[in-house]
Amino acid sequence: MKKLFSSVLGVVMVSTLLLSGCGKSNDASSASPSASTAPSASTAPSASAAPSASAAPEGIVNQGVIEASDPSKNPATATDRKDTLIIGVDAPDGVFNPIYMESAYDQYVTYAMFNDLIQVAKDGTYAPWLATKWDVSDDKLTYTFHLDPNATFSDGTPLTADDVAFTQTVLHDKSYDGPIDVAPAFLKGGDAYREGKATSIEGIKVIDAHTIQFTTTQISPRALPLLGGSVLSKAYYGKGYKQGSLGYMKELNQKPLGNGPYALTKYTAGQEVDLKINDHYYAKKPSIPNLIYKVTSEDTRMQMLQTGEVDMDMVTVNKDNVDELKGYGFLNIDIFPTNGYGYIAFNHKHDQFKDPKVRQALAYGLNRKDIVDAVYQGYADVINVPQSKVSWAYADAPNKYEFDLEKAKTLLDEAGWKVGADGIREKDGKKFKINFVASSPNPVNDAIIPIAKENYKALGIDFVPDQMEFNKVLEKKKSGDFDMLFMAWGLVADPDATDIFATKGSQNDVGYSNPKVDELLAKGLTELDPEKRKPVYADLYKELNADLPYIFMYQRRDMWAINSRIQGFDLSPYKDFYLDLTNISIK
Amino acid sequence: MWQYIARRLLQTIPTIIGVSIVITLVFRLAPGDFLTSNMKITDERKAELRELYGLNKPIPQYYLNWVKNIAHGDLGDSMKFKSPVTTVIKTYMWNSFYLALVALIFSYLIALLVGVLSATKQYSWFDSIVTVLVLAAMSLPSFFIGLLMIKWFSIDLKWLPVGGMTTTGSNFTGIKHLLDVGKHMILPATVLTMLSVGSLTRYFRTSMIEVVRQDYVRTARAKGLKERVVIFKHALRNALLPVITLLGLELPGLFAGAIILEKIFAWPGIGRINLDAIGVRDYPLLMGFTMFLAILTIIGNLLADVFYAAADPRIRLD
Repeated sequence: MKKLFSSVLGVVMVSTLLLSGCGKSNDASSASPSASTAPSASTAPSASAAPSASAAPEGIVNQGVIEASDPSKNPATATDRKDTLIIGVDAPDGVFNPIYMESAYDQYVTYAMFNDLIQVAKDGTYAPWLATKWDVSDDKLTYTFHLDPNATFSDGTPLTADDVAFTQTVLHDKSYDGPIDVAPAFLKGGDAYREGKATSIEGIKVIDAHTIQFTTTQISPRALPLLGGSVLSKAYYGKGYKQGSLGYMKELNQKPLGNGPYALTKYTAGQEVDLKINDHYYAKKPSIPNLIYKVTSEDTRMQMLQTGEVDMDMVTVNKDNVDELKGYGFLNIDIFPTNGYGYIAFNHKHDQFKDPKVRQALAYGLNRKDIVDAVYQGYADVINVPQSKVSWAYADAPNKYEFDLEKAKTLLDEAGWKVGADGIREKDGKKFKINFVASSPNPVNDAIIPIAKENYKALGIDFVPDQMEFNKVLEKKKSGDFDMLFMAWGLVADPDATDIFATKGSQNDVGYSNPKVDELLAKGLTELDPEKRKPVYADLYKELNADLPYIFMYQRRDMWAINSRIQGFDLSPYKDFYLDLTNISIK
Repeated sequence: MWQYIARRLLQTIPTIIGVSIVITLVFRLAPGDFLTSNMKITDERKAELRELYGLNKPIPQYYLNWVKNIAHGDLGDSMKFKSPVTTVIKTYMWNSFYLALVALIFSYLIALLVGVLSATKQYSWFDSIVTVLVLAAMSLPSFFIGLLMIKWFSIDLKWLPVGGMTTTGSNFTGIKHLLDVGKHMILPATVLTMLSVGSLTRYFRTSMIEVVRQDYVRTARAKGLKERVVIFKHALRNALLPVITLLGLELPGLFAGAIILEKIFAWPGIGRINLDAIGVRDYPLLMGFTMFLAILTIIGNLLADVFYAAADPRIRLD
């Protein structure tokens, strides 16, 4: 009996070890795009900051397309495949429903089958998709979408305003437990419906079969992408829908009825997803009849590209990988900035970080370039504002915080932190000690720790790293049990950062508070026109750049390796490859 | 015998209860839940979702709820896969099982043959070489052999596929499908076999050496039986007895999945699913699957004891 129990316990123990050892590593260098089911951007197209090829210090191309040097090297496995595109992905979860999917790979599959009302264009602005156009009222509260009258679902039934209304209703249902948070749309009557006080949503008005109007209660740049999201067939997904009971819909996850260019033919869990052209697709049909998502592994992704078994895949960006892929000769390599950034947060609830001079000193006193280059080998930039350089809202800010120990020492002296007898700075009898909470395994933390320890020691600061699993770090961040920590944010197309930097921001658990920032963030949300919002965000970034809620670290790169036989992709950090499925062809 | 089985089954009840408590505590006390690392939704929405998922309940209540549902045959819904835990386990488990079974059969066959031969030729050249080889195979890390084999057989020689379980875009059925899966299975099954064959060979060798020294083997030889008959009929059958116990303990392993190899070879097994579930804190899936393995372990032990008694008349189950 004792033996038995101990062997059973063994099973549990193994899981426990895994639990502590293998957390989800946050951001870091892995090529793991995150699903942004609710992309937000601006209403009207504006002058965009198109990504321009910039050269990194070592003379490597870290942005743009590196063309295949010798397409004739293409293996027969690939060139013999005349009617099929094979895209390598991590295993999808099999949730092929645009309102329930969470992983980026489910999103890749689902968006080959579903169109939204609107799409995010290459420059992060919005473009028509199922909706041919949309109007916003003068008071910026009412949105009217005009649907393409030819739009149909893949079973041939027409797509109408009723289907749009149904989808929005479901998103507001009490039992909806998918990842989309509709609250920032402020749809009139949405809360009443969720609470069961109304049987329909007051703010949804079907004007005719192809026109729908939404009324909101508050101006919000995030309303448009939420209201202009995906459309489910009411006849198919709404069969048996009763307010407050959506459980049935999950059974349809692997039997999707879409409205996009492709339709599902076969899903083999953990192996592949096969799609073929949707015969009922209303717009220009794709020129490649079959599309297959093939599950590849992190370890053999490049080998699958090399043998031609897959046509394209996302590979972790570093010098070794880029050189290897270039060496194959027949791949086009598309490198673009990741829409997000890495940062080191301060715990603003701790007195030692309340003085901006101290925060600035810690930025000047850290060799960020060495850290970033150690991890990304030239495929990341050191940043000084929390925005992607390709965003329309990006504005440069004056302080570059180049590594300067002397300047950092001066700032610390000015802030009242004097070097004590043991070489450690102190103020009011308190030693300057930094408890750095770091997730592990994480290559960025592996680079930060030795460099920060050395740099901060030279400043007279005791830097104490504490490595733990990612979820534990999140818990410490939430409870405030840290001095500094490294994390990364993924961004959406809209520049609003209220959640992160506002005093009451829902993601601001580091306790940052700056009245001027609060005011600018609120001001940025009162307008929908990018041209009017631009100066507000320029001011915001200037303020954040001087006040430093975080030490801003880097923006890294993403990369698609694409077989040169596939032509026509035009990708950007905002525009995913699936938006080009109808534009590409096999050479 | 039946009385013994009934008693053992009764005894497993407190074990299962104990294990279920340990499982709940281990997973629920770990920091974070399915929603913690989701940076895209507000805290209010997280609170709503925690309520829908039942994650806001205190651990004892969560535990009782879970047990109550299990009693009704419901392991709950996976949060990551948005479908019932039993469906998720069924979808991926058999892929792991086929791979593990093939590797198990080959490793036992090879280990048995090599073990017996090196036992009969103890300290010979053959014995020494085999010892070195099996220990070498056992000591190499699986990811290393795996990647090396992919390089040799898939990239350089182009004999075998790089990964996966079936040819991409194929629609084979029947025998063609089996052959296709077989082709994809060669590399991962070889690596799995290499890893386990070492210790098994040593085990069989020792067991055989012990038996060969027994009096009844000497008697058999004295009767003038051929050496082949002595070894394979009289000695081997007794040397095989410990295999029953070993096989009983292998039972959960057959279904648990090989995490590292499944990852390297993109094999759609349950090992990788389990690892992912740990990363995202998919409690229903983690707890359900761990519970399933625990019960298999208990069954495996029971079967081993029962079959051992059936095979060896010296053992009495009372």
